[in-house]
Formats: sequence, C-alpha cells, structure tokens
Amino acid sequence: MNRRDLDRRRFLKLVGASALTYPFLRGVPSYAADGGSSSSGSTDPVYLVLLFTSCGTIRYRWGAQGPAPTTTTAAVTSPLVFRDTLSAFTKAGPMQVDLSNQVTVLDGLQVKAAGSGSHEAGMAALWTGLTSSGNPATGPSIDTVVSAALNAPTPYPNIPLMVQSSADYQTRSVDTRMLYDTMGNFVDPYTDPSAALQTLFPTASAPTTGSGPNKKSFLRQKIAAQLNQDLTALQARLCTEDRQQLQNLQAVWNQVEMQTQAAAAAAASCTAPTIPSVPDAGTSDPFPVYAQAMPNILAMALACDLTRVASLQYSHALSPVTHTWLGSSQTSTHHIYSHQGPTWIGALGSDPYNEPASATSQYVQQLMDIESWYAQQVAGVAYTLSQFKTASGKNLLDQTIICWGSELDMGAAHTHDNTPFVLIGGGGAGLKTNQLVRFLVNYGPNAQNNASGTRFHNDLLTTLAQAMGVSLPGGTFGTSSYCTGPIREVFA
Amino acid sequence: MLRSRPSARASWVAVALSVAGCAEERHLALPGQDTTGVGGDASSAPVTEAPASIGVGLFAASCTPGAPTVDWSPVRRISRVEYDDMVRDLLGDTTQPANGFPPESPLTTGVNFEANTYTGVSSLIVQDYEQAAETLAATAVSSASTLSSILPCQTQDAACATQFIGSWANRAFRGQLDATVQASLLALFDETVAEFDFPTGIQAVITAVLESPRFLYVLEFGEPSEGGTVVPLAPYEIAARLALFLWRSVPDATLMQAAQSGQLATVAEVQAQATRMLADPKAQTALNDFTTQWMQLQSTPVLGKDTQFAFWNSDSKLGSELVDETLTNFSQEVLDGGALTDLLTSPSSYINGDLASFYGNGNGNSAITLGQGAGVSVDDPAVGTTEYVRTTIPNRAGILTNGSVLATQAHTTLPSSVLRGKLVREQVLCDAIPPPPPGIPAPATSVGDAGTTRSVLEAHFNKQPCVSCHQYMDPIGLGFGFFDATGAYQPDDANGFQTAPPGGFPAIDATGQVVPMYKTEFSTTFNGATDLAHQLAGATQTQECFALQEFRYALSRVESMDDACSAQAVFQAFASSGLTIEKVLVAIVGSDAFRYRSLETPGSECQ
Repeated sequence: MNRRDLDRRRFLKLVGASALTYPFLRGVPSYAADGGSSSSGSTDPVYLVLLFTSCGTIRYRWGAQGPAPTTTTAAVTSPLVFRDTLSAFTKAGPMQVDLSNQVTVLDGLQVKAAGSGSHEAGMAALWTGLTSSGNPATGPSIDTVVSAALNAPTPYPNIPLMVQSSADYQTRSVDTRMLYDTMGNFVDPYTDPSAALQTLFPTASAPTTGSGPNKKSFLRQKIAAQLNQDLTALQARLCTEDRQQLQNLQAVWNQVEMQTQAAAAAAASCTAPTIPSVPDAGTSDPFPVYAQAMPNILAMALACDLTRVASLQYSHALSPVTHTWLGSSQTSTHHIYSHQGPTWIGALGSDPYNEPASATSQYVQQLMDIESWYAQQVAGVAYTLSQFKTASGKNLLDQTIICWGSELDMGAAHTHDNTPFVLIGGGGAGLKTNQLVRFLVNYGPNAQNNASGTRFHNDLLTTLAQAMGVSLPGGTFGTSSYCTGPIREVFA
Repeated sequence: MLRSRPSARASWVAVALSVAGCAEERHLALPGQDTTGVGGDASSAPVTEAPASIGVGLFAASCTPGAPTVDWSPVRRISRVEYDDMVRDLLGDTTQPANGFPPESPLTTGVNFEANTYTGVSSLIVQDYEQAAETLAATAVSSASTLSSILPCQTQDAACATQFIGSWANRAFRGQLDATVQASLLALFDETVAEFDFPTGIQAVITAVLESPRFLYVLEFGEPSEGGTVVPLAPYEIAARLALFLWRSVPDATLMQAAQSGQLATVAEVQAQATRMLADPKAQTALNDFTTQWMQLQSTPVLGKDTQFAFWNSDSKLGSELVDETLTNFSQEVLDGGALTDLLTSPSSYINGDLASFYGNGNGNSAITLGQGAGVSVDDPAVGTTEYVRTTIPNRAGILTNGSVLATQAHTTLPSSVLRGKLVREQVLCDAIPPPPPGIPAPATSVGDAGTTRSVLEAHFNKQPCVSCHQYMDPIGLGFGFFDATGAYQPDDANGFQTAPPGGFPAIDATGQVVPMYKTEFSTTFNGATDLAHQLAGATQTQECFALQEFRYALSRVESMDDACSAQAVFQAFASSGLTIEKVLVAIVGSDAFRYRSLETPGSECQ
C-alpha cells in the first residue's frame, strides 16, 4: 500500500494563509451538467455529511446560551454564544477562524426511537430513526435514502469514512456501524486513509509493481466479463438463499466497477489530497493521525464532486479509545471516563445548564479534554471545507450540510432525552445559521429518571432530506409515528 | 434480505428463547443465604423440559441409525483468517492483507464462530477483495524468482500456463475448477499475453482466481445424485472441508492427490488425512482461531484496565502474552494427545518470563519460577519470540483460570461474575442466554458502601426480570472471586477501595452453584474456581458441549436435529477415548455430517 508522505507543515501551507482561495478543480460548467440550465450557481450541488462522536456530552458545558422554551414551540436565540465545549467553533482549524456564524445548535431533541435502550439502541437509531432496543436497525440510514433519491451523476453515491483506533472493536455490529443500506445491512466505512485514497483517487496513487494504468484497466475489463459469466453460471446451480449470496456479490461487484471507472475519470481532473504518514504499526494508536487524514479525504472528495453524501465517524459507540495524545492523565478510555457523571438527567435540576456542584463535580477533567478535542476536530472539518472555493466564489462549507450527533445524550445516564445535535454549514443551501434552536424537555420529578423530550430526532432526519431537496415517501423517516415534520427553524 | 435466515431456523431461536426459562418467576438461594419463603434451590427440578434442538440436547435427541441425515450447509464467504492462510499457501505471501478487511459478522444465534460470514458484502469489502487480489498478483509476477516459485514448469509458454491453471487454480478453488472456467482462464491468459507478456498473463490468471466466487466462497454441490435428501460430498469437497477445518486454508498437494485418486472415500482414509494434518504446523492457526473464538479472546490484547493496576498499565505486551498462554495451552493439549479434563483442571499453564512476573506479582502471590520442561517457542508480532514453558501456578486450575479469560470477562476496575458466569454458561455448557432487556443501568464501576464485590450482585437475586436469567450466570461467576479485573490473584476483596477500611479488606466468598437450565442438565454447588473446574470437567454436559463447539466449528454452522446421529457418534468416540481432544477432531471428520451434505434443488428454497 502506498502512502503520501507530505508532512503537516506542507499541508498547512496549502490550506493556510497563503492559499485562502483553493481553486475548485471542477469548474462551473460541470455543475451545469447536473441538469441545471444556467451557470448562475443556483444549481451548485449541495452535499450532506454526517459526523459521529461517541458517548454523549457533558451537558452543562455543551451547547449555547439561550432561554428554554415554555411551550412546544422552539425558542431561538441568535447570534450564538457558545458554552465551553463548542467554543471550539470560534477558533476553528489551524488558522483559528471564527465559524460560529456557520453553526446551528439543536437542543432538546429526543431520540425517541432508542427508547430506554443504551449505547447500542442509540447507535442503531441515530441515523435511521428506527426503533431499536439494542439490535441492529432493519432499514436504511438517512444518507442511504438521500443518495439514492438524488441519483447524482457522481462516481460514488455515498462515501462513508471512519477514524479508527487500534483499540476499536474489530466487529461488524450494532455498536461499530452507524450506517445501513436499503436492505438494512451494515455499510462498512473506510478505515484506512491510504486505502481510501487509492480507491477514491485512483490515478493519484503510484501504480502497483509491474502494472500501469493501461494494464490495470485492461485486466479489470477482461476479468469483470469473465466473473459475471461465472457468477451467472454458478447461481443457476444453487438453491435460493445460497443463490442470493452470489447475486449480492455480483450486484455489488458490478457497482464497484462502475464507481471505479467513474472515479478514475473524475480523478483525471482532480488532485488527490495529501495525508500525513502514519508511524509504524504497533508503536502507537494512529487515531490522531487518521483524524487529520480523513477530513482531508472527505473535503477533497466533495470538492471533486465524487459524491454528494458522505459521513465520518470517530471511533464508534462505547468508544474504547484512550486519548493519550491529550496528556499523561489520559489513562483510561472515553467510555470509562464518560461514566463519571450524573446517572440521570434529572439530577441536573430543572435547568441542565445550571447544574448543582454535586452534579458537575462528578465529571473528570479527562472527559472535558476529550470532548473539547472532538469539538476541535469537528470545527476543523468545517474549516477544511471552508477553504475550498469555486471559481465563481462559492464556499464548499456553504454548500455542505453537516450534521453532528452521538449515540447518547449523557454518558453515565445512557439516555436519549436531550441528545446533542449540531448543524454546520449549508448557508448557501437554504439553511439559517448562527442560532440556538431549543426544544422543550420535561425533566421529571427529582426521584425518577423520566425526562422526556417533546420533539423527536426523526424530525431532524426529515429536515436533512428536505435540505437536500429530497422528498421522502409519506414525508416521514424511520418510525413514522415519531415524525411531526421538518424543523422549520433550520431553514432561512 | 441476506441477513434473514430460513423460517425453520428463525422459529428455533424463538423456541430457545422462550423455553430458556428466563421469563419465569424464580428466586435463587445462594449457599448460605436464608431461603425461607423463597421458592426453589439448586436441587429442585426446573419446570421446563429440555429444548428439542439447540445445545447439548442434541446428544439426547432420538437418532434413527441408517441413512445419513444432515442439515443444510449455507454458502459462506471465507473469513479473514482463511484468506490470509490461503494466500500464504498459494503464493508464499505473508503480508496478511485480510487484516484490513471489514470483519466478519457474528452469527446471531448465540454461537459466535467467525469462520462464518453469511451476511451480504458491502462496497468496501468488494473493493478490498479487488485491491488485494491485484496487489498479490502483481507481486507474485514481479520478479523471475517469485514467478518461478509458483509455476510448475520453467518454460514461459501456453503449455506451462495450462498446467498452472489446472493445478494452482484448482487448488485455490479447493477443487471447484470446471472445464468452462479452465477454458476461460486460459483464454484470459492468451489475450493478456497477446497484449503484454507472459508474466502479465500469469498475473491476470492469479487476479481472476483471487477475485472468483470459487475462491472467496465455500461452494459445495455433492456427488451427482438421482434423489434423496442427502448426497455424499465429492472427494475434492471433502479435501476442502478438511483443509478449512484443520488448517483454515486450501488443501495441500497430498490432499489434492488423495482426492483425485479416490483415496478420500472411506472414513479411515479421511481420518488418516486428519491425523496427518493435525501434526502439520499449519494446524496451529486453526487451533488458535478456535480457541480465540471459544474463549472470546479477540479484544484481550487491547483491554483497558484502571490505573490502579500498575502491572497491566505499564506492560503493553501483557494482554497479547496472556492470549498466547491460552492458545498454547489448547494447541499443546491437542498435539500432545491430552484430554479435556487436563485442559480444564491442570494447575500448570504454558507461560513465559513476563507472565511469571505477572502471576507472581505480590499481593499474596509468591514468586513463580518457570517450569523445567521443554519450552514452546511462540512468535507473536506484538511481543516478539518467547519461550512458553509449562509451569505450576498456585490457586489456578485449567483454562478457565487463565489470566486472559478472567481479564476479558471483567470490567476496567471490577471483575465480573456475570460475564465470567456467562462465558461458562454459553461456551462451556452450551446454554444460550438471551440479551438483557433494555433500560437497565450500566454496571457498577465501584463497590462503594456495598462492602463486597459479591454483594453488588445481590440486586440480581431479589427481583425480576433479573433473576430469571442471572441465576444461570452469576452463581457460577462468583466462583472466580479470588481473581481481580486483570485476572491476577487477590487474597481479599480490595475491589473498588483505594485504601483498606479499618479491619482490612473484606474476605472473599467464592462459593457458588451451577443452576441447571433444564431438567437433565448439570447441577452442583462448589467452593472456589478449582473446585468448579474439576466438577465442570467431570460433567457430561461440559464434555458434550465441547464436542458440540468443535462440531459447529468444523461445519461452520449451527447444529440441527438432522445432526443428532453424527453428533452422538462423535461424542461416543470422544468419551471412549478418555476425552482426548484430538479424538473429537478426528471423529468429526469421519461423521456423516462432515462427509455428506443435504441435496439442494437449484432455484428452490434451501433445505
């Protein structure tokens, strides 16, 4: 496997002070090829990105300041005044740029579909809106549905990425996977930046030993034809369920072939991103290096219009990552630190942002540092996108709707009653930004952990679809009884 | 939808869950507890009969001797371990490309044997297959020496390519090379040579073979047959099964030759091959793969433990070494012709110097000196090459008291009687426990005012819906109370305390019981892990369960009623050999379930 060895300094130079306008590599006319009739920019594509970090939040440090609603109508506060953790958006990326005017903080959304379940239920329900008590979802996630509906003329319908730790579970299961295809099967994200680079930007990587581009495409074409023949012949000899295995292989294989060819064509006019090199395996967790690499790949994939829908998950539910690079006090895992805290949201009192000392003192500094770091990472993703501008002056972050979520609201409580969601970008795609949109949450009587929201996150998922210009069947997504309609406060 | 199973199988799982007794009202009395007014103790019969299918009930099910009966073996993808072993044996490649592939999905029936990959492929999996195949093929032809090491002939011509395809491709396909595919591979070679050169032609063939479903999937059709429900496997299909089970790889030349010359027809012939294969070093990966899954050691090398465990946190190799200890214990037991009893009860374990320090590390442990016997050289990339020597370790008995098992079935600060009991219940007794209901709180991370780790579990014993399932796990796990969250010995209950309370840490009570889930199951009380290990080893349920786990592993599927006669014959051979582990493996390959398959009709529902 080949690696790009450009170091961080060179990358900073490209995307930093001396390169405030990084030219889009596909010019305006290619947008017109989408079917738009003009190059006025009204047909500029819009991109959807789902981001995931694990184990919920420290509630009193989260979000932004603003009064709680007293009715089921959302209370909107603008401009944003962040609390501690999200202040990372005021100093985003290596140039410490203030991106708070790109953000909408959503406060008070309940992931009703996760019911009284724990991490697994929250992970399964997060992007599917489907009821789960901990089992994998049985239907598609919102990115799958949006990309299918868009049917965009891009090489890939969807690019799922993961910043994976060497400590992460090596399983393909409900806690490690957040995306599902139309059949309800897990979608596997790219976990190796070098491999993702090689696949997504094929002509950019050095040819493998003994073959050049001509040879590779010659062989692929010949072999694909032969494989299809043999797959058809084999299927005819099998009983139904066995036949479906090979049918599935054939369908996915042919789809990948088409994507590869389209990616090669796209890559001809696109420069691969640079990614930092990873230290030798076995010495340390590559997680922080991958956390630099994957956003670069994500941004360039969107900039080259390789896809309209992408996602990036940092580790997975119950994250077992030990964030040693944040300091020597980091000796335990994210999941373990997240268990240090109030075990029910009612313990926070009637206002979760004015928690009594008996609650706030339970949190450990390590968890605060971890959450600040992830906020910096997400702000960095936004910053990287903002550095790409079209020839017509459009900003990629304006054209991208980023939705950031987690599988819980509070780590120790294992609840979903006020689950943190943040929208970033999309100002050029009809979203209103620089606001806190706060929904009413009923925090129950003190003795019981029975807080409940009045607005469910299914409405956020339908909002994402609407923002992408996609109509959903019946106007609902996931468990339909949890849908009341898109969140209108999100739209300009 | 590819994840769905045939309806018969789905109804099984439902039956198993409902009769597992976990919905019943029962109260459990622990030894020493007041049972007044509480119904039932270990000696009274549970109210449900044994289930008709899953688990050790298979060994009591009715078997009508006569024509073989076999359950359907679904088509499956090869696992990552198999992919790496196969390209090692086919191309001499040791880069282990499958390490980067998406992992297998566990079966959903409570058995987690990851040789099985029944779920559909994703785009990423296919991309990985393609890229790996292209890289492996390009490397294989990249120099004259690599090329000549895989070709059966030295002349670079079509005749040599034909010979290569006939032998190498057939071996990669584990015998599933037919005339049509052979011809198309040769045509691919010819067309590629015409455009490029001979090495590229071979590269094309290798790429096509490694991307073929005949390589990536285990395909079986059986001998041509007129009818019936069961057919014998074709000779090369038996060769394939032997190689997959005992080596997690492709057959070697000897096996292929035996298949081609009809020398895999009798049970004796098949078993002779198995014996030969077990003595081959290639058996090591398969044995290690079984042990890793059986004892659930996949994440042990990277377990996080609280900072109070200084040894664990300062020695990053410890987790890997503990795994290697357990893997070596199992594989040596097999290779030495040892018995299940020894595996489960021996006070000795294969450890290296680092582990001797860990096991002898203070806190009531005396220093441990490595044994005097011959060492086993273990090469672990995470550790290096070290010698593991059979060494007596005090307070321990058998594989269930290995540090690896105890540390994995534990939390970061506290040991877990629930997890340890669950491992014994599911993996050693073959009783499935359904997942917990939603909405339960997270496990305690400290003992707090409760006093003892044991008392923390009392919440499970006095209320529903907890006790109906936890009674089958917790009282077993309590027997391991003298081992902390890292698997190290502790003389008293220091869990969760920073400093000893006045009067010292509480004493540990490691008494417990094995509560039978069904009428005919093993039932006992015990005091401590050594007592538990000896009693488990002597229980028929344990012995049957071990045979069943190997049976499942060999066939890469879960058992059904159709397998009753095969399973019972296997157990007969196992029991009459004095529970020699190697005998189970050899008995399985001689069974009907291994040598026959269900007759499937193309286009119809799989039976």
